[in-house]
Amino acid sequence: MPARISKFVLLLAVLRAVAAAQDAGKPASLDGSVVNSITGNPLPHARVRLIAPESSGKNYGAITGDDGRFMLGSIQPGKYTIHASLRGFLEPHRHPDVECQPQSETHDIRLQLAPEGVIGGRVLDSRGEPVEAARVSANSVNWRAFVETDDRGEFLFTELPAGKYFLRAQPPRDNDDPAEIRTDGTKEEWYGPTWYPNARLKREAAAVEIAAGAETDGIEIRLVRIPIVRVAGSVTGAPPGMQFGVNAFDQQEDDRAYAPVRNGRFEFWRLPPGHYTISALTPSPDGRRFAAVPASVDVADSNVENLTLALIPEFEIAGQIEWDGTPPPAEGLRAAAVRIAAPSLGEDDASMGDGKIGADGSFRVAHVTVGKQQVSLAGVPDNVYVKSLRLGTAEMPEARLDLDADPKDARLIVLLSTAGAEVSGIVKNDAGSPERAEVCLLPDRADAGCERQMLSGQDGRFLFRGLAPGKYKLSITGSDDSTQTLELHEGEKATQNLKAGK
Amino acid sequence: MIRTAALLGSMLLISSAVAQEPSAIAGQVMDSATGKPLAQVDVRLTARQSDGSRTVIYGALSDSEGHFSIAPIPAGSYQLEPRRRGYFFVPSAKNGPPSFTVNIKADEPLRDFRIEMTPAAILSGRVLDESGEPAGMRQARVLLDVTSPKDYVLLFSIDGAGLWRGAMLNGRGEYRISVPPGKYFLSTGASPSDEIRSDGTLETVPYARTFYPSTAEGRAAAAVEAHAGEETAGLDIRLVRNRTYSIRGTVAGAGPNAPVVVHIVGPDTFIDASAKDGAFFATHLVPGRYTINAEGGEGNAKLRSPTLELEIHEDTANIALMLTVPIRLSGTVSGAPGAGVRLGPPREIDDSFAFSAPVSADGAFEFARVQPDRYRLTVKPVPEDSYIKSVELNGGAVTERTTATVYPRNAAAPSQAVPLDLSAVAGDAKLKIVIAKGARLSGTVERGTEKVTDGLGFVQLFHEHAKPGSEGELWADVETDGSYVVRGIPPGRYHVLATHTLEQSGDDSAFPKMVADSEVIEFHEGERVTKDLKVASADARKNK
Repeated sequence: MPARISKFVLLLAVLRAVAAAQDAGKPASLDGSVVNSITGNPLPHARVRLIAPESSGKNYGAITGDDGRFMLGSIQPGKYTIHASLRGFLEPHRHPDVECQPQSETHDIRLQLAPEGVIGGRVLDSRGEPVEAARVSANSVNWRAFVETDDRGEFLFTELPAGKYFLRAQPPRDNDDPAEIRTDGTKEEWYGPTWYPNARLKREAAAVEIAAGAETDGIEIRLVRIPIVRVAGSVTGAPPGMQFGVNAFDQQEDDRAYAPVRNGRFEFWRLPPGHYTISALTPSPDGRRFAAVPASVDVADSNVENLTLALIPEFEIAGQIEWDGTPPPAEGLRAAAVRIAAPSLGEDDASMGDGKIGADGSFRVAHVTVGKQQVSLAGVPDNVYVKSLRLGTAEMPEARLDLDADPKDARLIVLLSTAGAEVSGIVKNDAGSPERAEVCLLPDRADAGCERQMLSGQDGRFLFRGLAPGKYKLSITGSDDSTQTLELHEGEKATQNLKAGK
Repeated sequence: MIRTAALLGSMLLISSAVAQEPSAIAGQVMDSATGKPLAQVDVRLTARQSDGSRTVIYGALSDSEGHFSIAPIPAGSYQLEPRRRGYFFVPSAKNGPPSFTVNIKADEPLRDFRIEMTPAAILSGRVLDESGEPAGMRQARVLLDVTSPKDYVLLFSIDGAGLWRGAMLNGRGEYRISVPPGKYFLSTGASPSDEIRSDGTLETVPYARTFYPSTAEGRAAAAVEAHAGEETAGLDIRLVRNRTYSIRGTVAGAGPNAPVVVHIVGPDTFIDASAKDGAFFATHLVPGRYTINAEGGEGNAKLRSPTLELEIHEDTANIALMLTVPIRLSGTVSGAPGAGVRLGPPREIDDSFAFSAPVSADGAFEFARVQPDRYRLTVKPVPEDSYIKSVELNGGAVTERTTATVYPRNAAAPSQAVPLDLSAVAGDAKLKIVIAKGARLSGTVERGTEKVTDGLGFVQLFHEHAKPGSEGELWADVETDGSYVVRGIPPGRYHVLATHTLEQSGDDSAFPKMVADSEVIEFHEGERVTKDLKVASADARKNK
């Protein structure tokens, strides 16, 4: 696998060199071959596409011959992305872009396709009966796919890259139905989202590992029964006639639910057990939203009643930037803005406001809502971080505002420093080869979610800059075992590699 | 314990109804194919609210003899939704219209209610492309991309039940659908697929919606028989290409050498064709309904043509578009101080654009540049209880009051809207909008002898001359204190009907009669009427 990286670097270099060395007078053309990334054998009948970045540009295509070779001619000069496809194979990564100089010839582009992995199995209930129309997801550190079970409870994932997968099945969705009232002594059965083989929680799940081109069958997921409970409450302060709803979000398991608010009341039924944040945010037909301080509830085996969410109109926060030490040159701050955003609590309730920083360091952020809000910066040099926050006279730790009301006249003083720490590293798989994966950096606190996220490069590299000093956890999304803890000091440049195992 | 808590919660909700009219239902579930009792069926009875949400669900599990029983259950009208894996509930049409509704009366508990469950039939096969390979777009994916929905197969029942359901193809181009026995058409709507042309260019040539076995023509489709408890396999659908068409036409009204673009929007189609020397041409249009308009010039001098809507089922020529000069639309609004006027797309659900103009203290508003086209005109906010009485365009009445007045309860800023066609207007347009005070109807609603306080009641008004069976134009929910208010009633004579979720019947044919039997009240402008209503009950309906 390390060979893969060097091949690409080399390929890129060759492409450029060949393209640059062409005589004038010939039409631009390109040839090469498509090969199996595991065996190196040529792949006939693969489709090759050269796609212009702008929609106006021309696209080109070819099909490989029995020797796996293709040729494209009469190409308009420009930069193209190149793709190969063939049933039963996947592009293991994005191929380097191809630059066609006027009248150039580019030879021997080698495009690799990896044979697909396949996982098949069944979803069963607690009595061993097949479950129809269950939604099954296959999750790896860099892949997520969904399928539904058929009447035999069977599912089939195709087109999977090699890797370790965690499979999760969800029973068919009518999960906002109230519990059935039964008078015959029987009990309604209900199942929660379940990880393979029969785990309620991700950390108890077993992985299914497939190699490139491998097929694994007979994976049985046995759904776990959960109690049917109601989580209900009321929302006050809504503008008359406003239609909106309440979101429930369990960060640990990424479970989400929505309940409409009717007559100022909401009720969720059948939430899987977990720790939920219940939040309300209205739409803004006249440019003004209302939000409530989210409620936290533990859903277990009994009903949760009488939650109250008090909606408050969004407001504006004005303030001033100050610098700890020497500020960066003014030209680097022309597009600078203060951003006040709620950490995501689910799909529909993310809220965000930006306030441009003026030449005098003042800013105004409109559309701020109550609840926990992260204060960050946009358009500043990469090494800048928020050192401290003061709202009126109150210090706000960890660059977070915790607002339960409109702060009115209290100004937000944001102290910035150019001595932000940084952490970089490489994601490697079990075999020690670099791997693309979504890397998440989060403060080492119980309730923290991903503060920064990035996709590591082809070479597995990632880099986070402009970090406040403190303790952090670094992990690959979807892989708790990869978590590394580290402490950063002001201005420190740390290195931490990650292992994309389980 | 959990169950008890949940049960108590729900019991509280309907406790008044239980105390009022307890009844019961018991019976047996049978397998329609074998005629034998069927165990393990979850017999569900659901009361729904007017918006379709489920409020209360009663359930029972059939035992080894197929017997089930729910007692007590409040008298009322319920949706029957029995469930068991591998079976469908297909209400029989033998005894009247098919119905999923069960009416349970207070004085007559249902003792021998018989439910027949039909074993599912399985239809399976593959979708193949022209070369006989399993179909399915293979797309280059980026990391963390969520798998996009694959191609699918749809089933249409021949027995008049319409679209039954669809199934996704798996990664091997296979499908498997579980359906009630019967005759079906199968069709698939495949994604467009890239086709590589011999000249090396790439064209998107869509596959047609293809019917089993391999035709784009619905009348040439072959029916497929699905048998109870059996699988019919090998139903392969071979995709055919869509026939595509070209259109050509002219755009008048642009200066020489002015850039003109024709926007062509249709099924899976967004084409911007540029018009050279006043002529445009576009190809590869799949059959269907299109909207076409032209845009020319730049910046403030930009002109547009009115939007043309047409069906394209053949090569079409001679489409004439005319760039028009924007008009000035001015007018007055009376009866709604502080209102604003808005022009949006003609269809209510389309919010792709909106122009707003404030209304001055003397009621005047103006849009300086409006393209002559079709719009929807909204006045917002209007005072409580008001409605759009009339709209005049350059002195002529625009339209009858066609749009429904939707009043969310306690709405602080209700709006009123009417369609407005400016496509034939040249020069300036003057509008005269009159907002007038409608009537208000309020009171309380009783079901039986008690006020409706469970939030399941609502009041509907039907104009005396409205088409039978049409939706109630005005409505209000009954509040949890038993009161209701219907606002902004245009003057006229209306049927006033109070209904309750538990009294609703799945039998739609009874509804026009219920409306016709309800009391007619005449409302005058600005009038406030108080009227206490009684829920039209199922029994009363029957006796008439």
